[in-house]
Amino acid sequence: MSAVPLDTARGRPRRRRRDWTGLAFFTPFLLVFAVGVVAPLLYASGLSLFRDQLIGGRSFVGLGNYLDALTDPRFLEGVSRVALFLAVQVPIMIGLALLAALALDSGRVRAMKFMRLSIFVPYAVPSVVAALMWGFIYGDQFGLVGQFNEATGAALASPLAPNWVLLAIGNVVTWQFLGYNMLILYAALRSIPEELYEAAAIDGAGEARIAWSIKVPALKPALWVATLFSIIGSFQLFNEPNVLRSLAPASISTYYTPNMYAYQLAFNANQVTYSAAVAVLLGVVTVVVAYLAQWMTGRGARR
Amino acid sequence: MRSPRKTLTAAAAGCCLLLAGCGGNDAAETPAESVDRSAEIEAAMAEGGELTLWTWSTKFDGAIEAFEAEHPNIDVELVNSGQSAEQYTALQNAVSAGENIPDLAMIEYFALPQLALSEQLESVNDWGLDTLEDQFTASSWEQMSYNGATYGLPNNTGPLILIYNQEVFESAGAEVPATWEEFAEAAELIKEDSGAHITSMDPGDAGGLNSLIWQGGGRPYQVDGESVGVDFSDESTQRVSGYWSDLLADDLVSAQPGWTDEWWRGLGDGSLASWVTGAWALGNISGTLTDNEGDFRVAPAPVWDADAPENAENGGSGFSVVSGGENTALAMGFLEWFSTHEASLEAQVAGGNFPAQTATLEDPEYLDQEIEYFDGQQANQVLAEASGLVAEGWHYMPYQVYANSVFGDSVGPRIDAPGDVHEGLEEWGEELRSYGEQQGFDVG
Repeated sequence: MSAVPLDTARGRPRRRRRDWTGLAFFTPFLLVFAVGVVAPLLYASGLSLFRDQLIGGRSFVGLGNYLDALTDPRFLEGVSRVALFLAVQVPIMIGLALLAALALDSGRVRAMKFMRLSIFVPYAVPSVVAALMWGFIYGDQFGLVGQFNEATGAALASPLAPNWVLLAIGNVVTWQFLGYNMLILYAALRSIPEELYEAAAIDGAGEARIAWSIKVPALKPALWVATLFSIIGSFQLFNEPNVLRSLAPASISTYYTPNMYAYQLAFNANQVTYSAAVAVLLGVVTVVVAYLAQWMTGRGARR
Repeated sequence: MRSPRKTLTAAAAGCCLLLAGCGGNDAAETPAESVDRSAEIEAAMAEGGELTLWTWSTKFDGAIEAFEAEHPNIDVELVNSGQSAEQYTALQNAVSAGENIPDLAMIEYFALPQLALSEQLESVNDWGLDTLEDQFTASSWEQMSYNGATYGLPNNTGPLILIYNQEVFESAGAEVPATWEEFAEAAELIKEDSGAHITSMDPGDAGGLNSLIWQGGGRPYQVDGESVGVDFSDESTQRVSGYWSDLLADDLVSAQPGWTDEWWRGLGDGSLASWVTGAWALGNISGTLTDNEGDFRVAPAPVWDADAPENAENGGSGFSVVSGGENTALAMGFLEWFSTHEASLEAQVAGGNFPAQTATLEDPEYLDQEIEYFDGQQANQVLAEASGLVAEGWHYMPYQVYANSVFGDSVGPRIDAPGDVHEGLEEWGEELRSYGEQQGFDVG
């Protein structure tokens, strides 16, 4: 008899505590998440189901915008361009970042703190400023390229010419984000326990062998994070080509990258709704590619 | 060559008169009749209040000061909401949201039809200000009008002129060209003499090529209510595109984008010998290339036919009262004073503005002014003369903002490569027609 009320008395407050305290901690995040992430996504997705016209106004078209976008040569051109960019630029940048991180971690670099800072500094430069700066350097009349040509009699092509401009953009992005990726990798390297190195040294492994057999495998999660950020960054490519466009309007079209296309549609073409569809599609493509990359590395890790 | 061009112009002008007469027959029709509401405006001015004015230009601070000095009960706040297309997007957002709508905004002529069509601007006919028409140049008034009503008052214009580097021309033994034929000859002499390009053609600037087509007699854009036409295939347009294709192919003209650091330096050191531009550019060049004082002179832009010179405009803008503003009567009162009052015009000209007001253009004091930067040349006379030669009948598309934004996609590469500029124009036209259809216009 006496055990029953005791049990319920103990049970009730416990359950209540579990319900309300958790929610109290969770609510601030939930609110910010709902207002900052879910609501804009829903709003954009909703917008993308309509069509705007200068004559006729807004009308509901269902998935019409998506069907259009999937066959829109401009959108597809932009997506394949950033995919190419991703395939070439990201491995180069991550590779360089890995080299830099390993070099710093080896402890054999002089003026270590200075080196670390100077590789990282470009990341602190706003990307618009970085693109402007490189725009000056790329100038083939009065820029660094022009001065080099004049001084040496060489005839370097303008990096802003149609065939070279993607490479020129890749260079700016690599310069900017090398230090950021290096820092992710370097931090992961610092967390590898010293005992592993000592054990390896006792086994007679040299620096190169330690790097290859201990450091790189231990870096896998960090490499994955860096790669994921870079994949997302590549698909979001916007600031650099958009700034360089004023210097090379014939080389960089209004649909050069999917994000530029979305911007053009929303801000110059009176097609906010179609722009929303393009943005949603781009988001889906990015998620799919990121997932594929994760799946591939996951499979590699299991083996 | 001459007569078909003239017929075309006359036909275009006739079409426009017809439009002005009947005001179109579409749903968005605005009555073009003048309504006298001067009492209402006067009452609002007497009561005073605050006005917000959007412009990215810094040439109007003096005029605003003069206005506030004379109307101490009215506050005018100048706001920079971005340049050109950026401002129009912001304006559209404000109007459709119904919040933070400015009372007035500076609107470039090429953007006016688009903003008028989407009902973002108040017609001055509704407030009786259309009676001020004869105080402005004919072409500027035409460009502030759309479908039979006028949406604001003109402010500045950009009749084409040639700003040239005196020394580069002299050293090459080149005369200042009066016709495009002479311009091409001068280009060869200059190239031989110093290796310089006579000028550059911006692969991203639709406004520049538009004004050259206009000047050459082409009228590629036709607008009638909700039907639009885009056609670059006429002889006059082809003459212009062919002429520049040749100069680009012979490397007599470079394909540098304008307004960049490289381009300014090129003008400054003489590797670009001249600049074909609008009259507003005097202030820009004297303000930017301050080390080059005395190097440049101003001449009328070369024409196609020296016996019957015709000019065109590059750029130019007016001021409009924005729909949905809080105090339209007060805004109209300000607009009238700002656009026509002597004190305002004087301050604007002092600020480097090239006026659309005939009173200033005929004012001897303005015309005889010797401009130090141009070695004491009475440059305003050249500008006023260029303004007087502007040919009528030019219309922008009701989606010219979009049209100009995609110019670099199709025509740009043909200027840059260089190739056939006309081919680029055809592709551009194709794009504009399909965009028009998609936006619900009746594309002819």
